[in-house]
Amino acid sequence: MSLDGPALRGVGHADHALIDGLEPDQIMAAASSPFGRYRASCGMNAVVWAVRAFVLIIAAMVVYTFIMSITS
Amino acid sequence: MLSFQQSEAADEGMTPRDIRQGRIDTAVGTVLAALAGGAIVVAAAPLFTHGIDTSALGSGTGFAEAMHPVVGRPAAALFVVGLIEAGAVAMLTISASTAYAVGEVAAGAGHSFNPSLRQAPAFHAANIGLAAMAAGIVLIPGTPLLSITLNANLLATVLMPPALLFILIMANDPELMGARVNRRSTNVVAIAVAVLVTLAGSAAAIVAFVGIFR
Repeated sequence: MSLDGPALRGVGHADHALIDGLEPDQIMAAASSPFGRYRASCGMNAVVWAVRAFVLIIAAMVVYTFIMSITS
Repeated sequence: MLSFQQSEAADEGMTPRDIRQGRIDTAVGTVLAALAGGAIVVAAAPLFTHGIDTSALGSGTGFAEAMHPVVGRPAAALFVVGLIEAGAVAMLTISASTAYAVGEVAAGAGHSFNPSLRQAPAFHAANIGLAAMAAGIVLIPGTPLLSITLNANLLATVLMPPALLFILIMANDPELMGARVNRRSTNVVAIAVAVLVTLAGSAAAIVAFVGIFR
């Protein structure tokens, strides 16, 4: 499985050489340029949806367990 | 802790030149946290060997009181000191990361501890308010502290895989990371850790859930 998205997203190409040479207050401004929306591959989309389902199901179980433990 | 660390690094104004120091900081903190966690497990082990019903102990202090006749006063006192230290660290990091989260989603709330209370009232109110609210809940008589602690930690573990996934995506984005993009070996370790956390969280949640119906 590749974790890489498409190589370029159109906007926000960070100048890493410049950022490395900046002072902390300057880096905040330089690094705050917005990046384009991440375009995930089909495999990564499937992983993200699987994680969403995992969180919803397991978190619901944890919340139910907690409610039952304090009410019983 | 993940969100606290990234926000705290930004708040301190760390730059790429500080990455080495940040890695040392993280490694030392990780080892100390693992040692502390292991020490708590070892310290509480005599309770199980003496057949004490730990489910009847209401909170951390209940464990310390039960340990007193088994391991002696100094060891039980040390256990209490460890609990207080762990609670203090957790209170500081959780309230601070909540304030950072408020600062990230609420425009103008502020996202740093550097501005004064007057300059960033919403940020500081979130930080202090959460700690005060937690203290208020703890002081309510009869509050099921052990259940709250266990389930809050379990929920945090269950919510960790999405955060780990997003960090991995960002760390593998060459446009974002430049020359510091993740190496293959780093990805192997990181994915293994994410899978392990996911499995451990799932197992604990399922065991607790099934236990209700027994």
